[in-house]
Amino acid sequence: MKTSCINPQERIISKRILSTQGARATRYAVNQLFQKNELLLGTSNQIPFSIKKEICGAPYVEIIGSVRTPPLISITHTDSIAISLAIEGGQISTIGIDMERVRNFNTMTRNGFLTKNEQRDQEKSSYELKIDNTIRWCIKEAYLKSIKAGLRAHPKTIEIRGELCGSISLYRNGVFLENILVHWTRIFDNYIVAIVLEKV
Amino acid sequence: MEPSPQIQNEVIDIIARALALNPHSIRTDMKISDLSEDSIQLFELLLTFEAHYQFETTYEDVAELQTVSDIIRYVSRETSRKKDSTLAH
Repeated sequence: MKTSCINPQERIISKRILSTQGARATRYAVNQLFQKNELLLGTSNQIPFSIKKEICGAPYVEIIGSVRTPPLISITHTDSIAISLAIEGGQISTIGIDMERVRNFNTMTRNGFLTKNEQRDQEKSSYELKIDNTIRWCIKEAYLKSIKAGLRAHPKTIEIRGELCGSISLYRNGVFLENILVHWTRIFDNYIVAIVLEKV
Repeated sequence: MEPSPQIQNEVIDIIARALALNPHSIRTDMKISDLSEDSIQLFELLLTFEAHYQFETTYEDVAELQTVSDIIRYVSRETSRKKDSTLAH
């Protein structure tokens, strides 16, 4: 069997380009948020800010020379798409976003990230199943990003209960997570984007 | 203890197959997050290591696994730990 493989350097370069796109998307999102708020507040001052990264890799906004509370941000990119989410703090304490291409998950991966309860819900057509599983991955990843854990917390510790097209609840190690808002959508036909917010 | 060349070659080979990369161009100082397409591929790579070497990754340790070299050292440490515990029994 012949499989295609690429030079690692090519992937590193394409990921750096995507990372730059993510930073540009974030600047755009933060500027939009500031402009919206300035309209509401009746001011027109440009607010200088910089995007920094915590040790864990999570991005954050630092506002230069102001005591104003910076917005919360989260970035995701895959293939050639980068999405940035920027939201005013205050009512929301944490945010996380994840986007993935809809794909087939092999048995090892499915058993690796789905809980036993979630694995029971696999009696669907292969098409529905790959969408369902991509949604589940995105929601779990978005939540883990929101708590700045990423893959340092096992995705199996998070369980999604409820209908994916209806009301969704998240549980961590069997404990219901209160004040969590989950939203997912499908974009460009072949990608799922999930957003997880925690209310104060 | 320095990881054996065998472990080093095996780890690079597993990374290359899992991430569809040319193994001969993988350098040990490359960041694993740069080599994987996305988080799912990274997770699948972890599962492949667990299945191949029969150990469970401590997910808190994942933060330390930044480069190919970190993974080689981690796999080497975990496999020798497993060998020691088998001998002790």
